[in-house]
Amino acid sequence: MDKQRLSVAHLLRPVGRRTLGPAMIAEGVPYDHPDELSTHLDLARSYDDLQPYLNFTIVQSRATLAAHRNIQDIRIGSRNEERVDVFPAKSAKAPIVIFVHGGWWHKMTRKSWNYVANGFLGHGYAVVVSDYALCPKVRIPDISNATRGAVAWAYEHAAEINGDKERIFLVGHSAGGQQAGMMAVTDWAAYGLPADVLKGVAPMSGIFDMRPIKASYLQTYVQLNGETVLSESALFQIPDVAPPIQVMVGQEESGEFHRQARLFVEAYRAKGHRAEHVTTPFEDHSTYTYALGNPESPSCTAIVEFFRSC
Amino acid sequence: MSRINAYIDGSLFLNGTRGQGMSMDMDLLGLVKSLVPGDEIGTIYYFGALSPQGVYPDRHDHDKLIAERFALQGAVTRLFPVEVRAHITFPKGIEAALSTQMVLDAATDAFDTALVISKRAELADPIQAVKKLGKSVTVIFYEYEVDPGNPLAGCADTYAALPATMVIEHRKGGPWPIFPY
Repeated sequence: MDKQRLSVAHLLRPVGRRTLGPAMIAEGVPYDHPDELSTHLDLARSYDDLQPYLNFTIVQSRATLAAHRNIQDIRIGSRNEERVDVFPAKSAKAPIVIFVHGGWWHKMTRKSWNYVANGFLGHGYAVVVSDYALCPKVRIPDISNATRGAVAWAYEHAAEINGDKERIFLVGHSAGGQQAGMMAVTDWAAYGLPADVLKGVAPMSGIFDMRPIKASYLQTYVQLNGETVLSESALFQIPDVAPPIQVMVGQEESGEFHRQARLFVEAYRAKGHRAEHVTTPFEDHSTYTYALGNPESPSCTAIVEFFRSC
Repeated sequence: MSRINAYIDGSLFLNGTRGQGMSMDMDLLGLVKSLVPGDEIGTIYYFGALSPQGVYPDRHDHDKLIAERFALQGAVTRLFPVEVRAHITFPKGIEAALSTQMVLDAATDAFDTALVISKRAELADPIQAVKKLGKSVTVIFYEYEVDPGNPLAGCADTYAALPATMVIEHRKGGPWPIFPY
C-alpha cells in the first residue's frame, strides 16, 4: 500500500505583513494595520533594554525624596490609589505645579515620578505628584476624575504647601499627557472650582485623539467604548474658554506622537486659544521627561518659562 | 602592557546610557582608555541598532549620527536594522556580528584581551571560544538596582560594573543627569 502522502500546501500562506483592509481600522486612525499603529505606541518594547529607564526613575525619585521636605500619600479620592505626594515650596505664595505620570493608564505609580519635583522646586514651585488607580481595575474616565481630584486638592490646600491657589499649573507625560489635555478642557465650574483654576497646562507626549488607542494593542487594557473614546479625547472637547497650553514632544518619538501633538495644537488654536508646540531636539519619549529633574534642563526651563508667560 | 580590542554592544550600551539620563555624545576612545588604563588600545568596534525609519524617523537618523561620531573618533561602527514583529522590535545581527569579529580577531592574534561592553547572555559561548584560543576577556557593563549583576560575569576572566560617573566624565554634549539638590 502506498504511503499516504501528506500535503502541507493548504498551510502555506504568503510571508509578510497581512493586509486586513481599511475596514479593520476605525475612522481617525490613519494606519494600514493595527500592528503598524501599535508599533508607534508600544514604547516599553521599543527599547532593547528597559531596565535602565526604570532604574533612573526609582533612583532619582528616592534622591529627590531624601533631599526635599515632602508629605506623602495624601488621599484625594475614593480609591486607595488616588493619592498625592507633595513637595511644599520653600517660600509662601509660590506657584503650584501638578504632575501626572504616564504608563499607558495600566502601569506605574507616582512613586517612580517624584524626581520631577526637583526641577520645579529649583524654580520655587510647590509640587504635587498625583496618582490614580490603573486599568483594567478602573476605566480612563475614573483616572480623569482622580486627576481632577488632585487639582481640587491643590486649590483647597494651596496655603498648606506654601502655594498660591491663583497660580496652579499642570504637567502630564504620556498617558499623563492625555490627562493634561483633559484637564485643559474640563469645565471646572461643574466641579465647584473657578473656571480658570488651571492657569496653564503642559502636556508632554500626550494622546488627544483616543481613537488610535482603541484600535491598538492597548485596548486590551483600557477597554474604551464608543462613548469614552470620544469623551476622553481632549481633541473633541475643546471649550470656548480654556487655559494656555504648551504641547511638548521629544524629537525622536514615533510619528504618532508628533501627529497627535499637531492635531491638538491646530484644533486648540482654531478655537482661538493659545497653544505652543515645543519639540525637544535629540530626546525621546522618556529622556526629555527625565530632564525635568534638572531645573536647568531644556525641558524644565521651557515649561517654567511658558508658565511664567501665562 | 596588554593589547586590547573593545567590542561594544551598542544597542544595550545606548539604552544603558540614555536610559540613565546620560548622553551618547561622548569621547568613546577616552572612555575605553579609562576602562583599561595602561593598556594599548587596538580597534574599538561599535555594533549598534538602527531604529525603524518609518516609525522613528528622527531616532533612526540619530542612531546613524551617533555611529558617525564614533567613527570619526576611530571606532569601527556597524549598524543593524531593528526587526519589527507584530508591534515588538528586536535588534537583529548585533550578537552574531560582534561574536564573529571577536573570535576572528582572537584567531588572528589581533589582541591579547577582548574588552566586551555588554550584558547580553548570548555572548557567553563566543567569550568561551575566545578564551579557548588563548586570549583573555574582560567584561564591563552597567549594573542596575532593578537588574543587578551581569550574565557574562561568570565566563569572563575579569568583570567590573561600569560606573555611570565614568561615562559622564567623557560627555561632550547633551543631557546632564547629575541633578543639583
